[in-house]
Amino acid sequence: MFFAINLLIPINCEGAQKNADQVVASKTPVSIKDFSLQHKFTEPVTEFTSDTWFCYSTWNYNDLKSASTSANELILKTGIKHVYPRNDVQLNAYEGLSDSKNTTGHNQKSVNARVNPDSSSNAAENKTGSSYDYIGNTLENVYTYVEKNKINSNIFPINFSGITVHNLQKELISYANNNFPIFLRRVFISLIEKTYTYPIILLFIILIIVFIVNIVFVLIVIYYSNQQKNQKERYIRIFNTMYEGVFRSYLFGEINWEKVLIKLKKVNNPLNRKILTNVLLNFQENLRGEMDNTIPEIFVNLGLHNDALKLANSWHYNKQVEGFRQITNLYPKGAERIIHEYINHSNDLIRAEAQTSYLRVHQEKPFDFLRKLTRPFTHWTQLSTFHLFRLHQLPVPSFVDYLDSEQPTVRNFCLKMIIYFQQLENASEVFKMLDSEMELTRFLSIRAINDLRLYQGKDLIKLMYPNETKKNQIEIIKAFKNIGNSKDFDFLENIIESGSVTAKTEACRSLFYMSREGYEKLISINLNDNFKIENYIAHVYDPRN
Amino acid sequence: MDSFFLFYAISIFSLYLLLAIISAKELRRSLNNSKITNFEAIISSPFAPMITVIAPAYNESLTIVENIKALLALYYPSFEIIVVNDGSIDNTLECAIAAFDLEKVPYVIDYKIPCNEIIGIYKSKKKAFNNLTIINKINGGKADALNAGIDIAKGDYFISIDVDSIIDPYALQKLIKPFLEETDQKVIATGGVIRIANSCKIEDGQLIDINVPDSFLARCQVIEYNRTFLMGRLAWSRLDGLLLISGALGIFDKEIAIGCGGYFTKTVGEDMELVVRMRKYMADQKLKYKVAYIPDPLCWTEAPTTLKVLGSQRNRWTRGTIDTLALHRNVFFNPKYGVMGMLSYPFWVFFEWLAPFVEISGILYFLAIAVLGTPNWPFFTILLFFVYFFAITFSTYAILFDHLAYHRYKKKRMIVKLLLTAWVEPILFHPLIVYWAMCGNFDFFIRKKKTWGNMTRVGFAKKTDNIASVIPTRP
Repeated sequence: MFFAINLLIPINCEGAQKNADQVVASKTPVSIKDFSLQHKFTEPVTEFTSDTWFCYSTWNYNDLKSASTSANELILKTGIKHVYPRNDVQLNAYEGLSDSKNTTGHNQKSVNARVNPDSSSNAAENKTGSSYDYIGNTLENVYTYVEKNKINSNIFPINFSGITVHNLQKELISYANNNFPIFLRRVFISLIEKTYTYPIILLFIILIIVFIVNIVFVLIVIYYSNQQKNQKERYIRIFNTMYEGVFRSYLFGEINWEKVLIKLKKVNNPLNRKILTNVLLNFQENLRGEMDNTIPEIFVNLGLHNDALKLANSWHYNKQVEGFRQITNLYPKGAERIIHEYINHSNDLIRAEAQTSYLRVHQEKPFDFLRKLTRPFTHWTQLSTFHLFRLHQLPVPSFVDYLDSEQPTVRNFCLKMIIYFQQLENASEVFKMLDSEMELTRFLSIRAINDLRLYQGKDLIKLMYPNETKKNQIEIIKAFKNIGNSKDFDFLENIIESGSVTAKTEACRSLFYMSREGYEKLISINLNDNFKIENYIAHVYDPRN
Repeated sequence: MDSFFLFYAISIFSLYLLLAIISAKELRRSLNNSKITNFEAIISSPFAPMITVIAPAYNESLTIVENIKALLALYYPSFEIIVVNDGSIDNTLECAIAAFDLEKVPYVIDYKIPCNEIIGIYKSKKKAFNNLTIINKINGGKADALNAGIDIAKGDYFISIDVDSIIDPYALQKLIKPFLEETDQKVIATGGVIRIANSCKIEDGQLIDINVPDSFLARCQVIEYNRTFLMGRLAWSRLDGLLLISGALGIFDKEIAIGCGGYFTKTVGEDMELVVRMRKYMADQKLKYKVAYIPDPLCWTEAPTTLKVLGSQRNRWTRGTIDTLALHRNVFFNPKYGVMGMLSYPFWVFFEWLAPFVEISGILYFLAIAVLGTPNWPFFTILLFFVYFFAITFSTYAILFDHLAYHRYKKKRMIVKLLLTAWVEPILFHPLIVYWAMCGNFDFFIRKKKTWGNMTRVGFAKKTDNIASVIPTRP
């Protein structure tokens, strides 16, 4: 879509003067082919360019009068308003250029053409009673018109019909005309035209540029990040070693605190403060005894506890977790104040860290947070808390106190702890768990009866057996290995007779290892032709199975 | 016709872009989480759930001992290893027996999942190898071998691996974590990232030094794997639409796997088929579940370096994909199956299975226009450049993600090698992939081929200049 306005413009020109009808003048190139099709224009058109304008004219009239007549005819025929004759166009080698421009409307080479700025005589000599009008034939008039009508001075309408030519397009074509070889120029200009005709091509071109920019960006990031990572790793290694040496000397009494402050370099640098914290955390984990108090003192004296508190209050969950870890290990007083707020946090990771931190901070009652839990106590957190509990050799509470929790995960955890710590005194509470709705809770209760040798529970689990899940049934059968006696032979024999392969195997195992009588019973069952359990006996006999 | 191709191209590019964005966010979240996770708790815990590592083996006599040693070195408190000798015709079993002092033990097998006959169970006389079991059975294929392993597994979870893959020593801890963290929904399976071990220095089954492969084909696969894992699977996992966990490394809930019948033996895509079936099983039972994904590189495998072997692999993957999609076609746009039915399954149909067809059709269509008519050459050129630069951008970002997240390739020249390969991959490697995918379709629909094909095994690499030609499982 192009805009052009027919105006006289100052253009440089060399060569003989010719008479011509100017049909289009534009700041950017016009596709003569499209223009001709649009206005049903069949006359050959020549393009000539100046520094700022692309002008298109029919040309080679003998005189101005013929040019004027022709201009009127063109106006009537095509409806183009702004066609006017000119006798001041000076061009080099018109003839040579004409044929090559008819189809594309573009010059083989740019030709500078000059128009006499004062061409009012052109209008005066037009005696056809024109049905056309023109705005003016001087540059000043052009500018006045543009200003008055607030037209973008780079865009001039052909008949004010709303066709725009972009500077970029013009510059691209101009560049191609001036710099590209001939064979490439046509393709390129055709591409530019197509681009402005089909906007999607422009979109693709923009995207290609975006992709290229992205690729360059990524290459830069990879290059610098690789360097940066390697440098950072080296930096951390160096300062880690330095700080470890200094703290080791201090902790073992080789140097005093003043010396430490002198030797510690760059303690105000955030990265170095992180390194300091990590070194202290490592020491806290690995050193015990007197160091338990000394290391937190160092942490506080260096002001690192403030960094840790800031982290603990961060918006980012991973930083918050890091902060909790630091204050728990190195600034317990600070941790005590804030940790309990987070034990039911909606974020799983913060919640888990707060729960494990609670354990460390409340050493006299490390598992009291279980009473306050309103969200599930995940298996992963159970492992973490248990690990810390053992690592720091905290006093073992009576886990039966937490068995009445509303959270099934808490109850399950307590059952595991009761089994692990062999808390036999909690038998009655364990039996109550056999009635739980949750399969896992019942499973753990059966296991507790087995591992704790709670013989009173034997009849309870025997009664449960027919209605239990397969997994729990197997657990019940296994329990009889430790708590069964001769009264249970029939029960196990029934299972051997009609149970699944796994159930049979476990029943054989239970009988085999229960007692001497159990073994003899198993052998006697085998003698029965209906059973044929030699394979099972051989299987259970091998302790590797 | 033009509009169809344009619409298809825009759709696939948009979806890939969306998946990449989701993957980036998820990767960042995962990396932040892994920085604050303390795995020490599980390493020493008596409550760590037992995991069974099942490794099917067929004609692995050259490498079986090394591979088992590597598995025994896994760092986890409670696991067992079951190596299933699936009717090897070389002396795989004999090598293992000699190396680990194994003997045949009497064993009663509960065939919870049917499989070909198990001839014998072997365990070691030495206590150091107490957790090692070898199953010797009649040949039945990988799926059948895995089912046999599940039948005798003691663990609540099992991991299926390729016996010639190198598993990260900390893999089990990382893979089990999603199962232990969830309380609202049951995690039924977890997958991890598979990396290419070609040209890496390996000693005694352990990865000592990581290098970019020297082979061009292997390098292309590195880039391909990066894209797949770091810009695809992560996103699907986040969207709860992950359909595939690699057979080279995946951990599954044993109870659920048995409940839905174990691996399907009549397909060559048993890994994908099992995941889809497990998901369907849970959806049919109306149970909340999740298929998780760990973006950590936990398994290293040798990639094919010859066209023949690589072609055979891709042919098999295509047939496996078609098999699974056909077997579970009732998932297609079925709202009962949630994201799987409405999003990921249709994606696999349209943009994984049918993509080669569309691509070939587009090329043929263009050739027809070029010969018979007047193609819009500028438009074609622009489009070609668009596709090419999109592909390179994608690959470059995949390399960036990998580099920023794991920084495995530490030397600049390694990164440069990968980047240069990324520029060439769309031109040289991708057409081969399309070709092999079409061959896979042909073999499936016309030749009705259901087998794995000939697999050439030379030996797993001990040193960097001794690369094995193996058929790994799909990433």
